[in-house]
Amino acid sequence: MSEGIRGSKILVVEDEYYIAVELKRDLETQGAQVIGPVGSIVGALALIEASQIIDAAVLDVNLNGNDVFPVADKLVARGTRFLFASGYGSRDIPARYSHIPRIDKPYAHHELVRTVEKLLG
Amino acid sequence: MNGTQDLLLKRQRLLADFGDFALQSNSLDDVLTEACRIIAEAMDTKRAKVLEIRGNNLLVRAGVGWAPEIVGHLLLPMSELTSESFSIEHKQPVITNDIRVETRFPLPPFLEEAGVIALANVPILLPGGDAFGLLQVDATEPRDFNEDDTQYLRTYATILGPIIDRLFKVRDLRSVEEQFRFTVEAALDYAIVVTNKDDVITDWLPGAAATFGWSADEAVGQAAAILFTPEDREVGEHIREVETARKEGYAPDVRWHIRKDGTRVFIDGFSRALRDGGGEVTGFIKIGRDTTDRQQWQERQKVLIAELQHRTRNLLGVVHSLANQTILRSKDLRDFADKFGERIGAVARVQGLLARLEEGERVQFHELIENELASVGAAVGETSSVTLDGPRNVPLRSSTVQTLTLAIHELCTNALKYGALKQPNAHLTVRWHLINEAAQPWLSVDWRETGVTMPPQGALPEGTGTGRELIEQALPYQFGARTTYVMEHDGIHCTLLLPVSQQARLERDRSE
Repeated sequence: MSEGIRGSKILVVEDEYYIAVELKRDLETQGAQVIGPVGSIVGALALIEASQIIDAAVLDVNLNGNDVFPVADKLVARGTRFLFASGYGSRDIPARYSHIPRIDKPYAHHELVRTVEKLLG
Repeated sequence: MNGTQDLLLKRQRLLADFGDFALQSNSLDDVLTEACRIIAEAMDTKRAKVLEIRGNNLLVRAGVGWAPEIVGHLLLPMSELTSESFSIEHKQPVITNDIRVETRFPLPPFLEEAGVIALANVPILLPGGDAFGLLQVDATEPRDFNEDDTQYLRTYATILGPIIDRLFKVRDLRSVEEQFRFTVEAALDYAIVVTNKDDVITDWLPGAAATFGWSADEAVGQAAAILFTPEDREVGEHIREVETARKEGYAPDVRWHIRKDGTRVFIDGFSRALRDGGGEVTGFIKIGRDTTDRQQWQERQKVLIAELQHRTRNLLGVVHSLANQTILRSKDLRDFADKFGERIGAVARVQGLLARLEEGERVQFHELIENELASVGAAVGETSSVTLDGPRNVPLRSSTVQTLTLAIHELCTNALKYGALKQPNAHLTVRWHLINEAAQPWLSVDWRETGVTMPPQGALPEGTGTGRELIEQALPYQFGARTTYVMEHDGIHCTLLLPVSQQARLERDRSE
């Protein structure tokens, strides 16, 4: 259980079913309340609309071939902190997100937890 | 006395006329013919010719008063005995006032045949002293060529030398220039552009026209900046290139350029400053080669490498989560090793299918299902326990192939271990077809096992967990598929409705 994560509401945007399931389980193990997971841009935007509180978000950069950036922009607009999880490296992430923390896929469990803790910190 | 004076004036005027003519003409033949005409008039002989040394012969290079078959054609052998050879050898005029009494030299027969009685030979010497040939003045009556005549002829021949020399140089220069033109005009693969010091196009060779689409008429007078892309112009790349060439003599020019029709062409070339004798930059020459194909190939390769990187990481992610899932549902390490090995095998088969695809191709559903049935050793056919029934042309979305294969793999494995592929008298039928819904093609699959003795009601069937999760959870989550998974009294019944590639609709439309 992580003190930093416990009780926080975390949005998970990830299109790979198994990765999404594990992400949810990992975060829940740390005491988080997971919003999602959701695997599409439309679904993610709808969840953001519907959620009053989102403390942080984990965004897979590529959702079935589509960039997740519309979701990122919406989170920026409402001041929600988030991180990118990407199999692409930093190449395809626009410069305007250079300050956003990033973890490379596949990531280790503790790497994810540490980065989310920092986000919430 | 007056007669002499008039003749002198006439001769001086003719010399001046010839000088004018010679300065304005760049044709050696025209100048030599005019030289013959003027000297014949000045000497009042009606006939004159220029003989040019050609190896061991003299060619009648130009003449007036001589037949066309002689001028430009007649070759006289240069024997040491002739007056022509003597004149050239000794670099001095040789006069024969009456050939009928000439005893010093034998005369060529064509002169006698033409009725020539008197002649004067004056050597034409080029600057540096080499002989070009002879100026020969012919008269058909006996003449007394006096000292004035001889001096006039010498003067005349003396100015002919440098004039001929200049025309030789012009000819050489022109042929070098012609060679250059010929070479560069033939080189359609190379765009060659010459600009002035302000980088305005002055020469536009055919290779440039072929590369950029502008004709010479359209291009000449335009700024060379028209060849740069708008984004390069915006940041001043065209100015930078010219300034670099001006300062350093050379500037590489390796970038996308723009054609007349707005399309882009990648040029690998350079710009070089042209300087006059004093070192001042007078313009630039740009030479480049269209390497669009190579460039596009390289850019495509970059994309492919990035894609490969992505897929590799993704695949590791899939393997990682497969391992985790398998751990959750394994009785012991032995069980884990078996199941995990089979699943990795299915992942490897997917990679094999995807790797064989050409650009724009898709994995077909029948390939996938035949592959998975074959991997568990199930034969398909009339006498076997498996029936496959569906169109062969169902292109899958590449993103769905991995998870769909794993789902089908689990169905096959379970059928082999517990169901229709294990039990005698049981049967597996897989039917599929395409439907259109919400403006997009879907694949509908019906997996039906029959004649299977099922475990008693309430008992947990073995081994279905992973397959069931893939079908009921993963496919809907990842691709918006609609699925069912039911254990009927005589076997598993599973349905899938999965979005497929837009190509499917195109092919259906085509076949309709």
